Amino acid sequence: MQIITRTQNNEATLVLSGRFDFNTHREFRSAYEAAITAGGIGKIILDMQGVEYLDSSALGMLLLLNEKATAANISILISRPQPSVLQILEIANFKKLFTIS
Amino acid sequence: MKILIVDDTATNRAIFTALVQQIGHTPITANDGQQAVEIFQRENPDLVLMDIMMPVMDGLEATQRIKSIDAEKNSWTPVILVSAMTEADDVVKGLEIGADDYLTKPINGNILKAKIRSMQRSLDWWDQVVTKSAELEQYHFAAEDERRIAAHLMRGMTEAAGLRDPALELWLAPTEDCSGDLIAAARAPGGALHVLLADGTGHGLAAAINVLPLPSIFYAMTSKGFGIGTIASELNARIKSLLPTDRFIAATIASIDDRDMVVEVWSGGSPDTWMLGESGELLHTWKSAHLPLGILPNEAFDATARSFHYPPGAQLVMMSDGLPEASDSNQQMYGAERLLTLLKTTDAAHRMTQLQQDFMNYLGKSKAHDDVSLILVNTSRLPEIAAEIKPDKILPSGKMEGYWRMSLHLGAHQLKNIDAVPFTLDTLKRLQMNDAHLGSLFLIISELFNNALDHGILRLNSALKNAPDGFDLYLEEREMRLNNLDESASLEIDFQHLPGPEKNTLRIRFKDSGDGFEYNNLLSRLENTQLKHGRGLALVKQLTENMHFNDPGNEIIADYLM
Repeated sequence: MQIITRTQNNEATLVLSGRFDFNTHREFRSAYEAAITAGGIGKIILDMQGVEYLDSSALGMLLLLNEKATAANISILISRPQPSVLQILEIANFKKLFTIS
Repeated sequence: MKILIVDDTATNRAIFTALVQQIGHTPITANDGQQAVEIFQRENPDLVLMDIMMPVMDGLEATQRIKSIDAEKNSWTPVILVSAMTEADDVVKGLEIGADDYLTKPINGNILKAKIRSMQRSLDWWDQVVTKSAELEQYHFAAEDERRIAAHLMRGMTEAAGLRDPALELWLAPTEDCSGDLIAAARAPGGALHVLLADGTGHGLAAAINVLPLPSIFYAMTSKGFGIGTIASELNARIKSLLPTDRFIAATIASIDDRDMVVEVWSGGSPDTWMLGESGELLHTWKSAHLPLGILPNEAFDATARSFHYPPGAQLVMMSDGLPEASDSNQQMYGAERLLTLLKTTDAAHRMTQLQQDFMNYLGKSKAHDDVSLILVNTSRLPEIAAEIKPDKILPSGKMEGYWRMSLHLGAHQLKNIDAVPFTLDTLKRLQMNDAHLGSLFLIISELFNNALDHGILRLNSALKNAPDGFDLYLEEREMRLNNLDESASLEIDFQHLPGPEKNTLRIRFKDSGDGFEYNNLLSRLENTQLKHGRGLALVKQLTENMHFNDPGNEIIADYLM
């Protein structure tokens, strides 16, 4: 998976693409940790348009991010997931934890 | 290193011996191929310098034999051929049958020394590879053994008599020895069947360990009469405290109560749960309504289960995501639609076998990447066990002796928030009530409790249930009225144990804060066994003696004989 980080004003956008699964663990974590440690950020946007697949360990990574972000007072937006990815997020009811649009 | 020098010429042997000694190795010598093979077997040299042209047995044949001895012992001894310039064909042949390098005569001492050193490096590598692969094999064996023991332990901890319930058809196909999917099932004291299908993140041992705390909690709480919402909440608390943040458990918990023909489902992170009619039509779908277990802290946890009133012959279908998400060789998922179509078009008795067949055909040679589970609950077979709690059966008395009395006053807050039936049942158990009576007492207490709460306090009318979808309307109305319950609402529950000459009596009294009702009508109707409402009270009347109301109808007293 490829992750590109763009920061604008106080928002960091992580553009994800490919398969979001167990093998993405390190990459995803270093991307969001870099964004959080950089400071001055109030919102992280996960742009999921390019994500083809998402598994349960990816859901686990989102929970870890949620924990870190909440502690740092940062909100998270999951943006533009494809229908198949959205379905997985919906079954897990992640709408109750994240804003998804 | 011990180096075997093979040459039929004494001068050559002497030159090699001197060179080998110069670089600190130990030479041993042989005069021809045959002697070389004998000495090789006896002395186990580390390296062989082999002349090609020799009497008795030439160097090529000796090399071949040495290599086959090595192959048997799974070891490697480098052989360096020593040849004249004119023997190029023989060198090629020798390398093809396994020799490792060659030198040409006349021997250059520096080249020989360099080749020996190079072979030594190769030998060191070889040793490391052998050691590592032995370690790896050892590790693999140990891991295999641990998995086998873990799988055995896990079967012991998760297998329960409840899984052999006649109403259940189960299919659990783990991808590895240990399954991250877990199925648990047991009857609640009143005869309702509780079923749990849990799916831990990932699969294999790590996932199996995640779900392991669930069955003991599920079985203990089911046997005490707790509802599935309370059970879900307890499971969530335990998982939340045990697992790291990124681990959670998708779960579906269902309670199927044959007496009222009601299914309740709590579903968090699982695929759809379906209720199918007698001829396969889809009657109801429960979508995942909650986050999986182990994510939310308990104060934010939503324990709401949703009910459905089912017709005779209905079948409940529960599954883990490994089933719809299994992919064929083209990465196409099996899918919920194909699954549902197959279930709809197959008669209830053959659904499990047909589905398994279709699933295997679909996957072909590819393997499911996650644990696959499917549960069918055949509601028509539920009475086979519930029937064991016969109302008129006289059960042996427990160790309970002497007179005691217990009174409980529940205020509005308790009525809203506490599962009062298991609470009272647990107390009776601690007062040494014989286990054999708990089933009947659970029925009596839960009927009286529901009657007092639904009709006495919440003033719900059972006639509501008659309309199409009436049952759901009834439950909605009930929830709404309970949420807006007046602060002054209360319920008194009172038990007295009265020892008698032949039998002991447990006198049960319920008094609610409602206005009461015209009970004489109801009492006369209870004789009619076909009635639509009041079946609960009819059951209590059957199980007890002297059941009667006190004016204005908000107090009921009944004697249970032991």
